[in-house]
Amino acid sequence: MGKSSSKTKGGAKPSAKASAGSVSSKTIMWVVVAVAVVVAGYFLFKPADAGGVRNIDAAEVATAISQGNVRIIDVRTAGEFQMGHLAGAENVPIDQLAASMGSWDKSQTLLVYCATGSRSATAVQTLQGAGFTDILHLAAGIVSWQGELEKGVASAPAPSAATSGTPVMYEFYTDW
Amino acid sequence: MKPLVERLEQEYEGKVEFKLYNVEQNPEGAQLANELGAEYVPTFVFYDSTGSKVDMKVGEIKEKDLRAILDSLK
Repeated sequence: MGKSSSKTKGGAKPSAKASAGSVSSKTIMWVVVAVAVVVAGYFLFKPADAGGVRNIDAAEVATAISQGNVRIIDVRTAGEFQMGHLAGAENVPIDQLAASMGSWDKSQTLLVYCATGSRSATAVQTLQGAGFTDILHLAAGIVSWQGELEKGVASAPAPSAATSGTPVMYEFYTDW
Repeated sequence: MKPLVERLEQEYEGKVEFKLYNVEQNPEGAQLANELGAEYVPTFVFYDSTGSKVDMKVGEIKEKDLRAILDSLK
């Protein structure tokens, strides 16, 4: 039987040392740094989904409300609120939020919004700091809402002539 | 009249309930003004503790006149 002899290459195996044409350790280092920067940037700049706050859009609002136990908080001024707000919303202007929220049930889901999302962003941070753990934020604000709006003062008992047992003076005025 | 009304509101706290409505900004206030028959601003409408309408004044009122009505409300 003839053995087939295999040719052996002459010379030592080329050693894996840095040389022109192959990937240098410097390049590898930069790639690692770049990846680290990208990953860090992602975590820094991604929408704040941290600890109990979830940004939602107008389409998700209806879903959220239908799941029940949602408290809708409108942090705009009373005037803006009366012009039109989400049905069932409570008006808690942003400057009154810290004072009012102390009595709220922290286990309830809160849905917070304002006109464009900037005041509500502050509100959401305040609420989170106060220990609320389930906060939905309509990040684009009520301007993004396509559905119907409720007008007027929310859930106030319909004003009627004096029923309180004390005399009442009504004044109807304007700011002119 | 705003400063006067605000002052009186504090003075009469507990004695007379002040319900002030800016009918331009408050749609419910505008509706209530309609129901109570207030056509012009300012209009003051006074009720006693039984819920009976006692008086209605259209236009600005002098302080002493306003006080007189408030003091007469029981």
